[in-house]
Amino acid sequence: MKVTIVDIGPDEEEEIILKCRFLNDDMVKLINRLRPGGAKLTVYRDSGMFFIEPEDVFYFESVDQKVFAYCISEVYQVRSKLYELLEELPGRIFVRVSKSVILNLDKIRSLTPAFGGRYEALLQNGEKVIISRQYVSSLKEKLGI
Amino acid sequence: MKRLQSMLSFFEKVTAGIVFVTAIYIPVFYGWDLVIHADILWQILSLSAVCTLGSVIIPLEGGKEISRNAMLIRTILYFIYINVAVLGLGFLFGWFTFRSGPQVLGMELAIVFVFFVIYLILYWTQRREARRMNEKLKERIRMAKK
Repeated sequence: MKVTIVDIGPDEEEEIILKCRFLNDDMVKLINRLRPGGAKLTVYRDSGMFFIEPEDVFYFESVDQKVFAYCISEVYQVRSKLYELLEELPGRIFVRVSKSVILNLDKIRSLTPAFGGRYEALLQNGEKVIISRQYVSSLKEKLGI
Repeated sequence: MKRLQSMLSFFEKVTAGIVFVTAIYIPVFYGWDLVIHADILWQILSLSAVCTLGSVIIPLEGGKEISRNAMLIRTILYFIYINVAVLGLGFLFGWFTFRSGPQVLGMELAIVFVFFVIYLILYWTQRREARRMNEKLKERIRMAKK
């Protein structure tokens, strides 16, 4: 891909023009990074592309090799894998709680014990997410316990 | 290391449970005047060690992820293992005879009691952990509002 940087005059507005045949995931990520207001998350629904705040996502779940972002009432598809999301998302608020789920700590209303050393997280939208025994220690660590 | 710590903690609970039920079992089936040998202490410790060895079937916190059903199956298998271990070693140590129905029933009740109490302790520990984590979550919300 050719990169062209053009010097502009002091009165001209700074601008980025992206010339491409189609938008691939890498380009979407790049656009996302350049958007004002910080890194938003690129999600898809009904063949439309949306940009949402990561903080608005209650949890991400991987189902049949597809990753979904669950917001207060909407569900979007995410193109990244769970492990890629973990690197992109703010580490302070997101934590992996099972093989298939990344949870937003700020959306947990309460935690209760479940069978076999697991915990059940009741979220602010009334949904329940299971925290697997394998990931309890990383959750505790994130909470400073 | 974590497994060893978990096994030691489990060993303590199992030993305490066995001592407790033995203290009930002996007077019930043999009366208060029975004189017992020091062997019984080693027998109890051996039984606790055998019961603890079987706990490797239960995954550690932070260990391999297993489903709820897999955990249930492992718990049932562990219960069966405990039954075989306690009844087998108990018979070898001469604690009871299979010819006496009440004694076998007493042993079985003892197994269920210790198993139930240990699970109750583990559940209580988990509840305490959940409470701690909930407090930390509330703290996060308070900090975020500031």
